[in-house]
Formats: sequence, C-alpha cells, structure tokens
Amino acid sequence: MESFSNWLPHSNSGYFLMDAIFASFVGIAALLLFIVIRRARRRSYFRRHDFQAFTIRKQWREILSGAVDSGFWRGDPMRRAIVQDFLLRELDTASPKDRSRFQEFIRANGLLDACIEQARKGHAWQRRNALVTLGATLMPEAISTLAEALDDCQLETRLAAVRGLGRTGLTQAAKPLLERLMTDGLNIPAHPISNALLRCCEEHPEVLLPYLRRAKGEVREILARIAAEIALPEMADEMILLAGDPLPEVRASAARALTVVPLPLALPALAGLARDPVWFVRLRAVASLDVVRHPRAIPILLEALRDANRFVRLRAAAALSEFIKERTHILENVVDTHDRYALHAMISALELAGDFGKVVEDLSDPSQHDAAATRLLDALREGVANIWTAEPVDPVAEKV
Amino acid sequence: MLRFINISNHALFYYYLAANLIYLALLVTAIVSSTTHQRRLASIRIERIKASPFTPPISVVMPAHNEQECIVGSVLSTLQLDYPNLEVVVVNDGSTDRTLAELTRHFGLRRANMLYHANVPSAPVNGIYLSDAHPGLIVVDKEPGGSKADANNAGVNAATSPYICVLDADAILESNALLRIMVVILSDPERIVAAGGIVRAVNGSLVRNGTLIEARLPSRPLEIIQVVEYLRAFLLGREAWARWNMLPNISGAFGVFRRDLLIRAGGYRPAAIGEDFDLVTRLHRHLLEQKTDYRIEFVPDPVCWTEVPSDLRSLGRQRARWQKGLLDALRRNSDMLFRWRYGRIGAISLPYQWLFESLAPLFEVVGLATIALAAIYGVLNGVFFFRFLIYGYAFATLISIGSVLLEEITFRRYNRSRDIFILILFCCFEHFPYRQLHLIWRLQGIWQYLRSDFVWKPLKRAGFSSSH
Repeated sequence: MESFSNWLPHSNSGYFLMDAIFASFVGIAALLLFIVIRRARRRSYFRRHDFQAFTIRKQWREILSGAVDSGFWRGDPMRRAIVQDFLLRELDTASPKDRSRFQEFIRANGLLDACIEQARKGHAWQRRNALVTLGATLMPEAISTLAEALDDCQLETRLAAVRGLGRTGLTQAAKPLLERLMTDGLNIPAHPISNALLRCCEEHPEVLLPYLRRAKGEVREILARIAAEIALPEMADEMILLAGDPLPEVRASAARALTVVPLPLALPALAGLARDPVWFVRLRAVASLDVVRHPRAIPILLEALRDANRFVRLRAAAALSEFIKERTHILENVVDTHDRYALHAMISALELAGDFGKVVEDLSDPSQHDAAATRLLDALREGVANIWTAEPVDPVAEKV
Repeated sequence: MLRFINISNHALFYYYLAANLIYLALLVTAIVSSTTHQRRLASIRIERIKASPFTPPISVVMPAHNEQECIVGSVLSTLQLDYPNLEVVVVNDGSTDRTLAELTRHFGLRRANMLYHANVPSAPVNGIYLSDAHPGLIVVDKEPGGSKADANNAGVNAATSPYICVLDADAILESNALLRIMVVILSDPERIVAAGGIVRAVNGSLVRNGTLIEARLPSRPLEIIQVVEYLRAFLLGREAWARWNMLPNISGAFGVFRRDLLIRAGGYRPAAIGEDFDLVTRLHRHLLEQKTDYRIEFVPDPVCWTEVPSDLRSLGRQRARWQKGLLDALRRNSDMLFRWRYGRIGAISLPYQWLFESLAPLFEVVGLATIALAAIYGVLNGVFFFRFLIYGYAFATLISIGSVLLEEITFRRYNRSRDIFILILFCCFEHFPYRQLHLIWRLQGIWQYLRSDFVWKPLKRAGFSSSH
C-alpha cells in the first residue's frame, strides 16, 4: 500500500502545491508592492496637496473677489477640490451675509453645476459623496437633485441623499423627505431620517403638522418624535391631541413636547399621561414634569413614585428631589404612603443629587427637632437599612 | 500503521487546504468590507451624531480586579470620552490591592445608599460610591465573584442607559470611539443589537493622563508579534465574519450591547471562562430562537488600546485562558451545532470555531506526529514535505501581510513607514519559534480545561505610565 507521502507527489495535489507556493509568493510580492507604491503615492499627494492648499490660502481673498482668474484653480482637479473644500468649511460657520457671498461664488464658478452633474451621473461612492457635498452647499438648487436620489434602488445612495438633504438645513428640503415617507413608508433606517428632518424643520416645526395628521404607524411615531424635539408653544393644541393617540410612542412624544406648552394646558395632559397603561409613556410624562418643575406637579409625581415600574419610580424620585423648599413635605408624604419602594427610590434620588446627608443633618438639627422630624428621620434610617434587601416589585420591563 | 499514516495525512492535507481557503475568503471579504466602511464614513459627520437628541445614552461598564496601577488613568480617560450623556460604572471586583482606595482618593468618592437591582446574577455588592466632582461616575464595590463575567453583571445591574459598553479597566478608548461605534449601531438600531470595536496593543505608545498621545509600535519582539496577531484577528477575522453576520465574538475589552437584550439573554454567565465569546453565542441563540432579524457588527475604526503581555509567562497564561474560554463556550453551546433553527451560526460559524480554532492545536499535534511516524517508517517524501512547509510558511505570511495591508489602506494608526516595515518583517518571522510556543500554550489550555483547572492566574502588567 502506498502511503500519503509517496502518493501525494504523483497526484494532482503535488502539482497543486507547487502552484500554491508560487501563488502565495506572488501574492506576498503583490501586497508588498501595493503597500510601497500606495505609501509613495500618498506621500507625494499630500506634499502636493499641502503646497497647493498653502498657495490657495495665501490668495483666498483674491480668489473670492475674482481678482485671481478662476482659470487658476478651475482647470486643476486638486486645486478645484481644495477651493471647494475651503468654501464648504467656511459656509458651515459663516454669517448669513457671508454665506450668501460664498454661495454666489459657488454658483458663479460652476462648482454647483459640477456637483449636481456628479450627483446625477456619478457612480456608486462618487455619486454618494457628491450628494453629501451638494447638501453641504446649503443651497435650494441642490434639493431637486437630492430628492431624485431618494428613489435610488441602493440603500447607501438613499442614505447619502437623506444626509445631503439634512445637511442643507433648509425647510424646503424637508418636503421631499416627508413626501417620500408618506408615500413609500420607511425605506431608510429611522435614525438618519429623523436627524435630517430635525435639522430641516428646526426653524419651522409647523411644516411637520399636516404630515403628522395624515401619517400612520411607524412614520407617525417618527414624525411625532421629531415634532416633540422642536415643538413650539403655538403647537400646543396639536400636542395635546397627540396625548390621546392610540400609539404609545406618539403619546410618549406628546409627553415630551408638552414641556413647551403653557402650564395650565400641559399639567392636566401630563397628569393623564403619567397614568398611561404603557410604562415608557408614564416615564416620559414624569421626565417632562421634572422639566416643568412646578409645585403643582408634586402630587402627580408623588403618585408616580408609587408606580409599578421601577424606572418610573426612580425618575419621579429624581424629579421630586429637585423641589428643595417642599422637601420635608414631600418626604412626609412618601413616608405616609408606607411604600418602601417609593421610599427607597426617594433615598436613591437624594443620594444621586448629593443631598441625602444634608437632609439627615437638617432633620437631626436639635434646634428644629420635633416629633415629625424624628418620625421622618427614623423612616429614612429604616429605609437605608433595608434598601438592598428589598426585591423589585416589578419584572424588568425595558425597551430602547 | 501505514494505512493509518496514509489516512491521517490525507485528512490533514485537506484540513489544511480548507483552512487556507477560508482564510483567503476572510481576507478578500475583509478588504471589501473595510473599504466600504471607510467610504461610508466619508459621508458621515460624527459631530452630528453627538449633537443629535436621538443619540441614546451609554453606560460604560469597567470591571476592575487589582488594577491599582492603571485604574485612575483608565477612568479619567473614559470620563473624558467624547459622547453625550455618558455614565461610567466601575466595578471593583473584590480587589485586594488599593484599587478602591485609589479611586476614592482621586475622584472623592462618597458611599451612597442607592437602589441596586440584581437583574442578572452577580456576587453580593458591598457598596455603591458616587463622586460629586464627576456626576457620571458610579463605583460598585462587590465581593469577589471569581470571574470577569460576574463583575460585568454587577455593572449591568448598576447601569441605567439603554446601551452598555463593556470596557477593560486596563484599556484606553480613543476619545471618539463611542461615537464611531454608535454611527454603525444608529444606522439601523432596530436590527443592530451589539457591536464590537478593534482592540490594539498600547505597549510602546505614548500615553499621558490616560489618553493616547501617539500610537507607536512596541520595541519588544514579543509585543510586536501580538500587534500583528491583533491586526489579523480583528481587521481580517472579525471584519469578515461580521460581514457575513456570523460574528462569533465581541472582545471583552470593548463592545457595545443593547442593555435590554443583555438582560433578557441572562447577562454574562458568571462561571464562563471566555465570557465574551459565551455571551455573543448566547445572544445569537436567543435572537435566533425568537426568529429576530438582527445583526451583530464589528466596527473597525473605534479603537480600544490595551496593554498586551510583555513576557512569555504572562502571554502563555493569557493564551491558555483564551483557549479554555473558547472550549468552554463552544462546549456549552454545542447543541446549536447543525441545527436548522440556528441558521448559519449553527451551520458554519460554530463548526468553524470547533474545527479551525479550538481543536486546531490537536490537529497540528496529530499532523506533526504522523509526519514523524512517516519518517520513522521510511515513507516520508522529503521533497513533498519540504514543499508543504514552504507553502505553509508562504500562505501564513500572505495572510498576515494582508492584515497589515488592511491597516494600511484603511485606518493607518501606525503611520510611520518604519512601523509598517517592522510589521511586515514580523509577518515573515513570527512563524518560528512563536507559532510553536503558541501551540504549546493552547495545548496547555486544552489540558487545563480537561482537568477543570479554571484558576485565574494574574498577568504581569506595567501600567500606562510606562507605555512610552
């Protein structure tokens, strides 16, 4: 019988091995060559780039004023890229007056047209980069090209278009995004589109409202979430209506938005949301009551302190710990409930705020010592003693 | 006997061939995946993520056991991370040195009577400490749990954010690492449930006040070899497996998880030796059983710098422990193998881990033994054997240089030509005697696992202050 070692060299494996050795060494040589050439090219590129950037920076004012002929930089791809880069960077931080001057320069020198051309006809990443760059020009002319790209079959291109539209920060740019959301639903992950819409609608959040009224399901949740971030007091009626929405995410967003609504309207709505059947709606309502921070919110927060969900309890406690003047009254109420979970949440919140020691010290002060203070002090001490032995009353219910 | 030699040599030849083909596929996939990621990053501005109100808070959990040398620097560096709404939970896991004292002294900790709910199991907690100067810092002092998993669980219990970042106490995160990892998670937060970043060796780099000032290659050969190994493991292996959505592991040194999911999966298994591998496998299991559409990602640009062992003894202990951890996690999840409901994890990823990672040392030993037997019986074909050795050397070098290429074309943390030259040199010379030592350490790991020797043996560390 032939052994492996005698057999293999006469079979295909023997020849294969020689080929494999050859291929491996060729592969190594190719990789090394690639690394060396790439490093050399990069070094040379950055050296040239640095020199050109320096030259352009020296003549920047003249280039902008037109004193330097545009042929100086337009004909050379590297110079053109540097000028475009400088312009976009300055646009980002420019005052409105300077911004329109830069934008006029971009228009007049054909940079915008070139960018639009690339965003329409470029391939793959070249096109995607052009879309994002187009958004960075902050110009309304970019919107139609960016909107076209929202219908692209590739997700990456659609994402680039969304980022581009968001980057313009223009209210008009929100329209194509909203229209697509309404007609096609969500064909882009929610986070990038939310960020883009947030930027576009920041100055005029009311543009969201007609779409919010018509939207359903996930799109409605997203629009409500964005509206909650940028809501204005004038949108109070709409936000109060949202507080009764059948979708919990929408109600939670309404709870967030109610912080900007006048207190007489906000408090009853928040009180209702703080008793919502869904825990994260109650949590948002309690967080908003913390932002409102009005003594009239204390009874609602005290009720939330006895919530079945511990996140709600802890948030309510954190909100209550901020009412410094009313602290004794709040603590008396907490002790009166005989709810150890509420008491533990309150102790935790006071500790987090760094105030627990002071509360105990104040209650122990002999000059103000009375029966009520003694009772509170005893309750707090007892609460501290068994804070770690208590099991949570509720199963953990969490959701991102 | 000759028949045995014949069969085993055939089997090993094809085993080796299959392994090399897989490595080649990993290399090609990693190159495609890394360059795509790099291009995608060009259109994203991470400062927008930072400014966005939709960016969720993160709790960084740092388990620490006898880390007095580096704990203050690590915590300082973590507190300075560029991320909105950051909470840092340090878990002092029954340290017998001055870890807690150093933290108390430096951050002015005060003991707080705070609620602590054990959602996932961990050893009893002795106390929770807060810092008035650093409101985002929570220190959990607990009884020694005997494992990092136990400490991680205590951190998960104390954390309050929807995302948990688990970070080694002897590690330094680059300041925008969390933003960079969240760029990927937030691109599809419903599906991406966890993501790991890259871990690199900090040895030799310039570190000041817990912040990496300049990345440099270490000067000791043993440390440089580990740099190559880390590049190969992360930029090549994890990048490719993640691309196929079969990532088997997120490094325990740096990974981000959805907290709710971590709790639902039961947290870390306190008895786990390789708690990171075990957790990710159980996450796969949990999500596949729920028929969830999910992804576990590897993100190659957020960097976690960690000190790698600089002496053979420590390195040997570390590698033996890794081997034990791998075996332990694979054995406990062996019921997932070739089961329809576990999809590609059960059909490809776990069988690969069994065959080409955990049992590879045994195959190597059997291979060496049969070659020796063939020589003894006079049937060894010297020419073929010599060619086979050359092929093995050339292919392994090709794969290692491929990972250096990935570093070069994408993330370029080692920017000096000299560093790249040294890395390539070590790609060529790591095969002897380091590979053989590595084989011995892994065999030790298997032996210790079979003997149920799970005692954690400490590694010698210099701390960051000496990382110059």
